[in-house]
Amino acid sequence: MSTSDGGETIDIADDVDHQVAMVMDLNKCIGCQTCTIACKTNWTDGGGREYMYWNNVETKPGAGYPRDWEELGGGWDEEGDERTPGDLPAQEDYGAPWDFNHEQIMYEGSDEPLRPMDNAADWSPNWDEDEGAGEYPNSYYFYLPRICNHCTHPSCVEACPRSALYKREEDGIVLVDQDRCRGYRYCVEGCPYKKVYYNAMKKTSEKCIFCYPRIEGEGPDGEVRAPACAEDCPPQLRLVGYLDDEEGPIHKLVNEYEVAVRLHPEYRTEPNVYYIPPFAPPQHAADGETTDEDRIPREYLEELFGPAVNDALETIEREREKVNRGEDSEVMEMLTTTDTSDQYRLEVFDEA
Amino acid sequence: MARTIVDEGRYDEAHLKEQTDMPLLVREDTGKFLRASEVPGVNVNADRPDHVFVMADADGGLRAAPGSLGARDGQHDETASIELDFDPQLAVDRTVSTTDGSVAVRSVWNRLREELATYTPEFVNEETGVGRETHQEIAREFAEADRGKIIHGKGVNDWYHNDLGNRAIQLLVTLTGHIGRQGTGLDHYVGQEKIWTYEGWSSLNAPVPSRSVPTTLWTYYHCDVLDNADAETTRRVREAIDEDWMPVYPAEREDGSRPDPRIMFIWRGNYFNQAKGNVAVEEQLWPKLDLVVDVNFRMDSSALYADIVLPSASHYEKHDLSMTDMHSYVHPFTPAVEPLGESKTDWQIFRELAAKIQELARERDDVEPVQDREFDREIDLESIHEDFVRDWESGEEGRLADDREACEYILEHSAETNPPESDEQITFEDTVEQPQRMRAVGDHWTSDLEEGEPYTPWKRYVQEKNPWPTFTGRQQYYVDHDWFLELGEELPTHKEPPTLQDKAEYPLNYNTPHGRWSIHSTWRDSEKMLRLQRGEPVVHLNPDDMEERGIEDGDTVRIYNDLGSVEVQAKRYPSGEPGTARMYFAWERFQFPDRGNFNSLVPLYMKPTQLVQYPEDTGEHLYFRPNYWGPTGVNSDVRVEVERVGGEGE
Amino acid sequence: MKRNELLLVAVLAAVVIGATAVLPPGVGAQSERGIPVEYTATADDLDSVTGNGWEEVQSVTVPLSSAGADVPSADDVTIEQMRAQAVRTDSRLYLRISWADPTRDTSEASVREFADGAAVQLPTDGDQQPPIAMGSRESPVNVWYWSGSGETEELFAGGPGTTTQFQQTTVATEHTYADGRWQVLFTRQLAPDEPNRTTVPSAADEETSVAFAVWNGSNMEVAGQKSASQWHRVAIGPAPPAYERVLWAVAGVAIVITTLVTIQGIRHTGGDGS
Repeated sequence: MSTSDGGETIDIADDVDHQVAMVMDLNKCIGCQTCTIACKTNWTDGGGREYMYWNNVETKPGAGYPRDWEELGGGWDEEGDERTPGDLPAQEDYGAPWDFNHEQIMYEGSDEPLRPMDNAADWSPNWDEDEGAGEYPNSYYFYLPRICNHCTHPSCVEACPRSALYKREEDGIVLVDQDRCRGYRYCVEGCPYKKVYYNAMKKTSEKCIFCYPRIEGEGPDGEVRAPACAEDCPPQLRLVGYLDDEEGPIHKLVNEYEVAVRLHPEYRTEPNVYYIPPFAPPQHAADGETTDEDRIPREYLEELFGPAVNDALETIEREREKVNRGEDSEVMEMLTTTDTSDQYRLEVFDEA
Repeated sequence: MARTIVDEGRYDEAHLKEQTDMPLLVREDTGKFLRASEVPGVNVNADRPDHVFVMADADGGLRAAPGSLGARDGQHDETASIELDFDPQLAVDRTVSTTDGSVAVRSVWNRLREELATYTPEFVNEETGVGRETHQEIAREFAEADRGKIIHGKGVNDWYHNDLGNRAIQLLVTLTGHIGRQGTGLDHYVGQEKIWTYEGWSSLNAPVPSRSVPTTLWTYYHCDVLDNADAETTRRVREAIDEDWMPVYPAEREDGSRPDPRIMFIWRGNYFNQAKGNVAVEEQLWPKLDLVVDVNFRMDSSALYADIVLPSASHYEKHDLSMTDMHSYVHPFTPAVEPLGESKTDWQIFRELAAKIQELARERDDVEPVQDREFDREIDLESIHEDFVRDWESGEEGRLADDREACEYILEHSAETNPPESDEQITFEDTVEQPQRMRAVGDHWTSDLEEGEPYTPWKRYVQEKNPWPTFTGRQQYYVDHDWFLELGEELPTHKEPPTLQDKAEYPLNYNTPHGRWSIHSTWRDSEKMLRLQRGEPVVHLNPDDMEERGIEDGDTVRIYNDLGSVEVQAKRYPSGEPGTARMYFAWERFQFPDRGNFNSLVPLYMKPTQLVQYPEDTGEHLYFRPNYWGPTGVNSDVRVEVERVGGEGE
Repeated sequence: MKRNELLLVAVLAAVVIGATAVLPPGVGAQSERGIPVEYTATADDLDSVTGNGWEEVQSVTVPLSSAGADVPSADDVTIEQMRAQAVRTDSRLYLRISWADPTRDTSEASVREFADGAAVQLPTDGDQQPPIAMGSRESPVNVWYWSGSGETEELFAGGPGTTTQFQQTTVATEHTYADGRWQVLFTRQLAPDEPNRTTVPSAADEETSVAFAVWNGSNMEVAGQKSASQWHRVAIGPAPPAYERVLWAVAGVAIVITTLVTIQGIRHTGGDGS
């Protein structure tokens, strides 16, 4: 479906009334993993979900979670008609949810150091944290928080031969019907972002639910709340709302100013999580002088966010200069607001 | 950067003249400030002209500097002013007739310029690696900005010469006049332990001045470091203690002896893990202690090495107040859940200990009240619990039985939350409703609160022209304390770190920055967070240093120096400066084989200039006060070597 | 006598009445693509996957090939044939299948682990032959699904992707793996009295069909990526003459008495604490 107003078209999936969306400003992410823990505590703390991180934060460049997920395929072909095959990640590429010998040390007098038990610690969801690429002093890295993209053209939904995955009509959230799911894992391999996870205890697949009980008003205190990953973020880097809310910052940043871009648009699933691409200080020359050279190579950002990243970066640059000159900038205003009613617009389509 | 700002004339001259010690004259012979009492003919209206300083006006006439300590009533005196009714010269180099005859003097400004001249672009580049042009460009941008602010963390404080570092950084906002207005100043974020409601807190805390000690000095002293330190350091530390510049407890007895500490309560900290030089803490201090009690909501390393652990409620299980220097609001803690298991709130723990002591004392019925050795009071064990819960101010018995009432007491007795002659009181209930901005400012604030504006310090001095609470009544960069003069630190200056380890033998700098996801050691062993890391302590190494030593990412390595050795996992970190071994701090001892930790490689060392009182005799400018002035624990001057464990030949 | 003992006697008595239709192993006819279902009065030596009786039961080789479903790698299957044997009593069907699979995959404990599996598909309405791929809405199927992880499910489907599990499974399975070969025994009542469950015919003149599928877990075969058979006609063997039933009834009563005596013996020794 698309809505149009004054010539502008907002693409959302057929058969959904509205589409939830998120904009994450990568310039604010400090890699603290508070979102990861908020999500884990809410949803994936047990019951076969221990290894899952519906929300994870990975260092880029880096292998990510699960390891080398970008190499595993999935998504759609160039025409966007045919799914391209994907591979299932190896379990060890997710990292194991280690148990530790706290009990033995604290209460049984063990002299051993605190360690993951069973000695299997050679990879974890954030193993290559802060490694990045490049050489001192021109090394670079940034953090990439990732949840399910609740895509407009989700290949996980298409992958399921049982139609267990579906986009919710009211808001486009992609869910796995746990009664329909038989644990075939076509969705796991079919999602190019590897954001559907197999629960071996339940033998079904599970994924980020965009904290739908919270946005339906079943969160703490019966209030409508944005997903926990967004609200708990210390630097408040996420905007949450509906892509088709034309008054909201998400629509403006994505469609109007085009400064919020999709991760790996070439997968063609049309994600509804958008990113403000990262800036970094320029490179240093050998004599310690600051140069004009980009620290994060532009090719790398294009690899991640597609060619649209170029215009996005230039627009932001221009808007920043406007602010430096003392002029108003709606873009910078939206990106720096501390007003939660602008950051989280989840009740705009509620019936009055 | 300061040199660029000064050389290129980008400084705020009016600000320097009115607000700083730059125009003050310093005697060339002694290095001391020229005092009004030494210069016949200087018109000074002050009780203590020897504590009044001298400037030269535009015509060369000598003038008493307004706001000098000798012309004020103590450190803070709002009736005095630093406003000038003449135009002082910044650059002065001349002789002055004094009571000691003709004396050569120079202004602080001239001395500063001489000091700054050392820092040529080449020198800066050589020392810091920052480009010759780049650092000057930043200096220019900072100076020319309408409002400039410097925000820095605790990194500088980790170095032995942290006082010099901080004075140098602060100098930039002073030179440019970026101070005392919204959007300016130096924000030094180290912890958030700002007790805005200081009066209420101290009144609740103790009916008499409390026995605070600088932990660094206390640890240093009782770990017997003085037996091993260099002669000069030993002499200065002893002098600071003997002169009563810095307190050490137990207090010295009449016969000049000083007992060892015997009992230690650890509360709200992980002392055994976090103390620098923890080899000495374990080997020297711990054997002196008969009883170690740890009041704690975590089983941390201190708890593991304590005799008794009293489990306490965590933040979300009790009533408490939260305040920080990051903003001017008071927030409450309220219990979301009841304390787990047998744990109790801190207030309850101490209250019940008092109750038990009172009960036992009464049973014995022969316990005489103890006279306080230092303060005018008696400690009566037979009524110690009643005394604990009594409202000191109103005399109401039993009022302070629970934590929430203690919070209420603090709010009630602080000007910020219960301004005198006003009904604007903040109650605990109000803070539960929503965080409350302080209603008024107390004596220890340096600006007023303005509606709709974040609190910005120093306005009283910069805008209202009250004297700064320094010796000179101005932002003071020249410190003429004897020790500072002896050490050549009267002005901020660059000094090499002390040599703690031989550079050839231990070629890597060792630093232990603040972890990202732990609050010091709290949560450092959180299983949830460890799963997102490597599950064990790691050292970040530059790939070149790794290659040189045959180390690969994930290898177990030994970091060692002449103090100790710890085994950790190596992590490849291209953003680390070559020649640096970086271990984010606060790993628990029990996370290491052999129970060493990141502090095992760090000696207990301390900079004597941070032990002073200034002025030496009366101490209005610098005197010991927790979190304000005292010696800092330092750790970044340490050197180490790293080698692979299980490599060839092992 | 305790309640559960009474129950046991009642069950035994019911078996006796039901078992008046016992026979010596007969030889059923087999036509092309037919799975003969021999009749037996008692399944004592057939109710275990390794029961001796199976040696006497005719075995049919069933060719398998990719089910050609619309899933990735549907054609990548590894098992090309299986064997099937079937026997019925008056009330139950016993179906033993076996196939060679050099890897014994029983775990689904991680994302890339798939268990071996086998399924028996029957038309919900016995006289129809639904579309082979999970039937259709008009012509649904029952599927008995056995997983190497040890689970058995009884499923209902009306076309690809519509599989739904019955709340309660009436199919019992037993399996063994030896010498690179799975053997799985499925047993179920012929005629469960529940909607949508296939009734297996018990008369020789009634016809129905059956199809099979197996999955090799280590080849990550799952869902439509499977080796499947075509429909096979089920050839129901005839029931025996009436006099044999009388003899078996007598034998059955003897069994009941023996059991009662045994129960009393156990009670006297106090061996049962329940």
